[in-house]
Amino acid sequence: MGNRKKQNTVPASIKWRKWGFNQGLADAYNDKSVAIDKHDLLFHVNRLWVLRLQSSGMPKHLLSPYYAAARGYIQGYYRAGIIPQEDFMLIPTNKTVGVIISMQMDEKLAYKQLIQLAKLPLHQIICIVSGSNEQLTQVIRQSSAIAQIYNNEPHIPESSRTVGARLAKSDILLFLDGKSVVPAKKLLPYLMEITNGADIVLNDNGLKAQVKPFYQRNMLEVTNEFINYCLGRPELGSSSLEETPHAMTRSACELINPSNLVVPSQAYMMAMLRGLDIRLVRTNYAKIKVKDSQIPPFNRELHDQMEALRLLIQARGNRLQFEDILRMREYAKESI
Amino acid sequence: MKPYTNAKQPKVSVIIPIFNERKTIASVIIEAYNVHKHVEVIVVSNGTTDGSLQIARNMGAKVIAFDHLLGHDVGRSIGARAAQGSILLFTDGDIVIPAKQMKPLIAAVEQGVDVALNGYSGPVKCKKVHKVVLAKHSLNYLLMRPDLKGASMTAIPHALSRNAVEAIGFEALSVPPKAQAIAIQKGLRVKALKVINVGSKNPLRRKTRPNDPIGKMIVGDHIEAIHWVLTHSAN
Repeated sequence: MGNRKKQNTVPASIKWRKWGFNQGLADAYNDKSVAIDKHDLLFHVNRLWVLRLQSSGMPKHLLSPYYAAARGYIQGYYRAGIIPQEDFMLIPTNKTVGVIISMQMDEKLAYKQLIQLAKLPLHQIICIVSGSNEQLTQVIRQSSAIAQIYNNEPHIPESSRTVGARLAKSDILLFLDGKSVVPAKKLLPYLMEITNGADIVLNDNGLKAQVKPFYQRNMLEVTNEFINYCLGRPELGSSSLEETPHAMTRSACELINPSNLVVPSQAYMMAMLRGLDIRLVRTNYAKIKVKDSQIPPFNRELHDQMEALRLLIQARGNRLQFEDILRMREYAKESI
Repeated sequence: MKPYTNAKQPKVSVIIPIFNERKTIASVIIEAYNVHKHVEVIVVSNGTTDGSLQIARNMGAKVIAFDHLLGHDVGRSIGARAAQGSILLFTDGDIVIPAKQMKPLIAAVEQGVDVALNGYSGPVKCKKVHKVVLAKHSLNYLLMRPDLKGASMTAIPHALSRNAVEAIGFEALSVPPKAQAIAIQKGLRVKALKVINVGSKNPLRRKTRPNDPIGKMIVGDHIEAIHWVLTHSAN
């Protein structure tokens, strides 16, 4: 009994951190004899990490053991004195990961975001800059060694997704909008879910609307919820491809066709109709803060949603799965 | 002698579909006769067997009877086709709404509104709403009418101008969300009026069964409405 109690008092995260530390330390000592190209170091460490992870028996759907073990691993490896900095974030996959960011005018945001991304072993960072903005371009160049910069005009935020997706060569694509800084750690759950078999991973902003009483939700939150209900996916709440971050595999992106990403609600519908595995990201944040949603006109988005519904109706009939078996419609006709 | 008679040249036609509403039908008809000076009351019976038909006849209403169920809202098409008034008021046989609450709908149509809806949006203060409430709001939003919120021709009471009935067509009145979408699409004046709370007596909620076939049917009506708009819009 006493023994059991003792076990329960050690949180699993501490256990995993210790495990990670030991693995990292061991791998680092194995590596001491090997000369590793500095540029490739993070990728090298990540490959070792993924090997350890695969044989660890760690529950694949939990975030906190992963964070703890990855952190421990880096600290263990760092202890051996090979890597110069401690704040690397290990990702749970050997597949290549590319980030597509639509860059807004704000240089500070761009800088902060790129610093976050530098913590991850990324294959590509594709920055889509609206118009030609010399200052912004310079900041991007200075903040990231691997960032590729492309100009896109005229600027519709979503069109940069199409441009970026066409240029991307990575196995997994992460989409960001550059309007706010997403910490590197918050991107890991997207990669975990893809590693666990998802084709597309949406953020969970769509669940935030569900925390509010219905009458406080904005038009898009309501219509997105309706579309998910019609798709037989009510658990997705108001989720859609409108919001970033989201992630998709390269093959999912090709199946949808990058050119369709410019209209998120249609891309979303195509993905659904193709039967792709679409999931919500798992986050650790039990409490979700609810912001008052603004009420822009939404005209373009609502128009796009009607077009998405057209695809759905074309695929599944003009009443979808909601048949009318009760009405005797012939009695409503003019001839009677 | 019958207590009421239908006006020869009615201004307002009140259409009341019924199915075995013996308990409420008399009161519903009394309120219907009180909505206007020149009124006709049309009761459309859906396989009624409990004597409510006789009650309606004895009170002076015009009765159109079918010996079997027609299904949801088909009675509206039939009643509307028989109506002579320039304003059509739709209500139900199982819920008594005071004439005083229905009069503003008629007044609105007199003042130029084509489709005067009950402003009732259903229970929306909760986090998880009924799928029909979700569908009603979504249809109005998708048709760029956020002002209507969840107001719907699915709900009673509502009033239509003769102009609206002609634009919508009798047949579509059997699928109320489709009728509403047609009205909005054709540019009729659709307006949500004051809330008449029919929630507690809402047949939808009273008769809910585990897999809720009526709820699903009504969601399907909304999809059918969206389909109509998609196939009839210029763009």
